[in-house]
Amino acid sequence: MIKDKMKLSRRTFLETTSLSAAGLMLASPDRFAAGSVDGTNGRVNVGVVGAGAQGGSLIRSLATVPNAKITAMCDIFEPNLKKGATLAASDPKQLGDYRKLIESKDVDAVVIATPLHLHADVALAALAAGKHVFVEKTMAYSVNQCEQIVRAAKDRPSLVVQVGHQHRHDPVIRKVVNMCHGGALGTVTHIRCSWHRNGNWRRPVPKINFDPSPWGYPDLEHLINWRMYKRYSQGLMAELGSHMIEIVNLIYQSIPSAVAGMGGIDYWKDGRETYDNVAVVYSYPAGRKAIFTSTTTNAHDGEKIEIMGTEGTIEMGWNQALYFREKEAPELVKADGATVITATGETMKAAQQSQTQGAKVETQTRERASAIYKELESFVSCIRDGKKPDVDVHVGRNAALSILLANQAMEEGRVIRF
Amino acid sequence: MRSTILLGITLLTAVTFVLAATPAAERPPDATRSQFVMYQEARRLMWTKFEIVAYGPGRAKLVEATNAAFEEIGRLDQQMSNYSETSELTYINRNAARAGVIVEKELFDLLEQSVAYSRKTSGAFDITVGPLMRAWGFFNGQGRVPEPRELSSVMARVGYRHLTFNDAKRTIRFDHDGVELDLGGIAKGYAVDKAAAILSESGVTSALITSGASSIRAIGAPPNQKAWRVQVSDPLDRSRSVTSIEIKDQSVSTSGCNEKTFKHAGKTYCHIMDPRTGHPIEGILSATIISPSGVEAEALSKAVMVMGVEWSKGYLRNRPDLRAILYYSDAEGGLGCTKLNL
Repeated sequence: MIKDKMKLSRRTFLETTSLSAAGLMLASPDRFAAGSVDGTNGRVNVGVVGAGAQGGSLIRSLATVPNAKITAMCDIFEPNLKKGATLAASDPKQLGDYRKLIESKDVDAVVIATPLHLHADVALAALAAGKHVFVEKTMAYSVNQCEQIVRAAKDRPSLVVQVGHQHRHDPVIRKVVNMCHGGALGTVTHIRCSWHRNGNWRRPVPKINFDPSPWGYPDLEHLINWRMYKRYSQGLMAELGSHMIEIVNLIYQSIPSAVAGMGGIDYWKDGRETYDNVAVVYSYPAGRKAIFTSTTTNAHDGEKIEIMGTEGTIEMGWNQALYFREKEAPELVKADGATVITATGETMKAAQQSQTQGAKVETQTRERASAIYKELESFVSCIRDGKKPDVDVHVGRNAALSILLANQAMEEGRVIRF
Repeated sequence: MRSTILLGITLLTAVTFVLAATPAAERPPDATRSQFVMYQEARRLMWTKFEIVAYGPGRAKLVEATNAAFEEIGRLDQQMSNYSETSELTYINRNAARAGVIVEKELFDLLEQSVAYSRKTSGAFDITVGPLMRAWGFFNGQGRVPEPRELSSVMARVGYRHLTFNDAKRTIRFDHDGVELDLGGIAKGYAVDKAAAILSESGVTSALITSGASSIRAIGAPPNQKAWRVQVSDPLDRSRSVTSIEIKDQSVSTSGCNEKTFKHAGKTYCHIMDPRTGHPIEGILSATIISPSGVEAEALSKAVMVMGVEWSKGYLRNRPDLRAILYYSDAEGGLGCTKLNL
C-alpha cells in the first residue's frame, strides 16, 4: 500500500515538462566538477549496477555509444556479472557491492537496472557521491522515494539524472506525439493502452547453487523473479504500465487527475504476490480519459496504444503506427510531423485509404533507431554537453506517481484523486 | 521474357523430425525421465516458424524456459532483420560505407565469424550476397536473369573482402557504397544455438528447436530415446523422406534448391548464389550438414551447395565431428547421393 501520496500541482508538472521539452542548457559552470568525464578526451566512464535482463539490454547498447565506456559493473549474481562484462567488451571492473562501484574514481555516471525496490538507494548514493545517474523506469518503488530523488537532483543541478522511459525515444512515438500536439487528430479525448501477454511472466531460474539471502531474497527464485513479489516490485503497472502511461502523460501534457482500477491474481496461482490481470481507468483534466489493461493470459492486441481524437485515430506499437481518419474529417489531410498539410498525389491516396486501412506513419531515418540506444546516447551527450535530459526526474516522478497511485486505487478499491 | 518463381512449400519441411523411433532395447534405463512431460510451442519469427519441443519434470518450468528462448530469438530478429527500419543491421547497412559503425558485441562476433567461414570456404559462403539476390529477383518474387553489365555492377558490391573490422574499436566499415549485409543465411542457425543455450541454462536436458526447414538444434535426446531422429526429404519430392539421421546436442541445417526457384528459357534457376561468379549454383540439389554448431551447419550447408561434392569430401575429411548428406542429379538424370562421415 502506498501511504505517502505526494502533493504535486499541475503547475509544477507543466513547468517541469516544458523545461525538459526545451532541453535547456544548464548554466552551472562546474557541471563536471563532481562526477567529471575523462579529462583528456571527454569520454564518459559508466558503471552499471544490475546486469540482469534489462541491464543486459542496456549494456549491449551502451557499449555501442560513442564517447562512453563501461568501466565498472556490479551484480550480486555472478553469472549476470560475467555475462554483462562479456557484452560490455571493455574489461570492466566486476563488483558485488554497488557502493564500491559508486566510490570508484573510474566511474563518472551510474546506470541503475536493479530490481525496483533498490532504485532509490543506489540513485541517492550515486548523486551524493557526485555521479550522474541513469535509473531504469519506474523511477522508484514509492512516491516518497521519488520525491527524495527529485530533491537530490535539485540539490545537484550540475548532475544529469535521466529515467529510462526508453519509448519516448522511439522514432515512431516521437512522431506520433508531434502529430497529436500538431492537431492531426483534432481534440484527443480518449487513449486506450493495452499490454497483453500470454505467459506466466516468470523468468527461468538457472540450476545454480547460489544463496541470495544476505541481500534479502530468500532464494534464487525470488531474486530472478523479483517482479512477482511485492516487497521488491510494483508489478505489471510498474514494469509495463509505466511505459504507456508516461506516453499518455506526454500526449495530454498532464498528470492524471484521478484513477480507479481493478486487479487480481486471477489465473497464475503460483505463489506470486503481484497482480496478473489489471484494468485501470485514468481521468485527466478537461475530461480526457485513458485506459490501461494488462493481462498474462491472452496476447491478443499485444502492446498497443490507440489515440482517439475528433479527426482521427492513431493505432501504434513501439515500431509502427497507423493513422485512421474519422469519417467526418476533411478528406485531403495528412499529418506529417507536427504539422497538418494538404495532401496531393500519393499522399492524397494514403489519406483517402486512411479511413479503412490506416495510413502508415513514416519514420525512415539513417539514425540508429533502437530506443534503448537512443536514450543512452542522449544520456551520454547530456553529460558531455551539460544539457538537461528530456526524460528527467520530473518526467520520471510523474510517470511513477501515475502508476503507484493506480496500484493504490486497485488495492484499496476506490478512486484516488491526484 | 516470362519468368516464374516456384516457391517451395514451406509447410512441408525439407527436414522433418520424429520423436519416438529408437527401439526399446536401445533405451537407457532412466526411470525418472519417463515421468517427463512435453511442452511444445511455435512462434512466427525471422519470417519463419520457430518451434520448440521440450521435455522436463514440470510444465511450468518448461513454459518459462521456452518463453525466455523465444524472447531471445525475438531480440535477434529485431537486431538482425533486413526489413526493419530500426534494426541494428539496417543501421549498419545504411551507414558503414560512410564511416566505421560500432557494433554490439555478439553481433560483431557473429559478423566476424561469418567472414571467417567465407575465408574457410574460399568465398562460397558470403553474407554480402543481398544485392545479387535482388538482381536475380529473389527478394521480390519476380525472378529474372540480369544483363551482364548489370551483373558486373552488382558484383562490384559483393564479397566479404569489402568488409573491414576493427577489433579494438569493435567497428565494421564497407569500402564501397551499396555493400549490404544479409544474415539470412546464418541467423536462424545462430538463433537456434542461442535458444538452446538458454534452455540448457534453465535446466532443460531434452529439447528440439526448429526454424522452418532451415535449422534444427537438439538438446540431449527425447525421454527414453538415445537421440532425436531427423528425416531428410527428397529434394525433388519433399513429401517423401529419403534418409534419416540421429542427432544429440548437435545442429542440422539443410539448404536446397527446391525452396525458391524460377524458370527462364527452359532453365531452372536456384536461389542459392555463387558469390564468386554472381550466378545461381547448379548441380547440388540439397545439402544437409550436422555440426556441433548451428552457425557452422548453416554456413557450410550453403558453401557445400556452391563448392560441390569433391570439395566437401576434402573439407569433411579433416572434420570428423561434421556429417553431410548431399543430393544431386547424377549422370543418368536420377537422384545421386553422397554421405560424408556417416
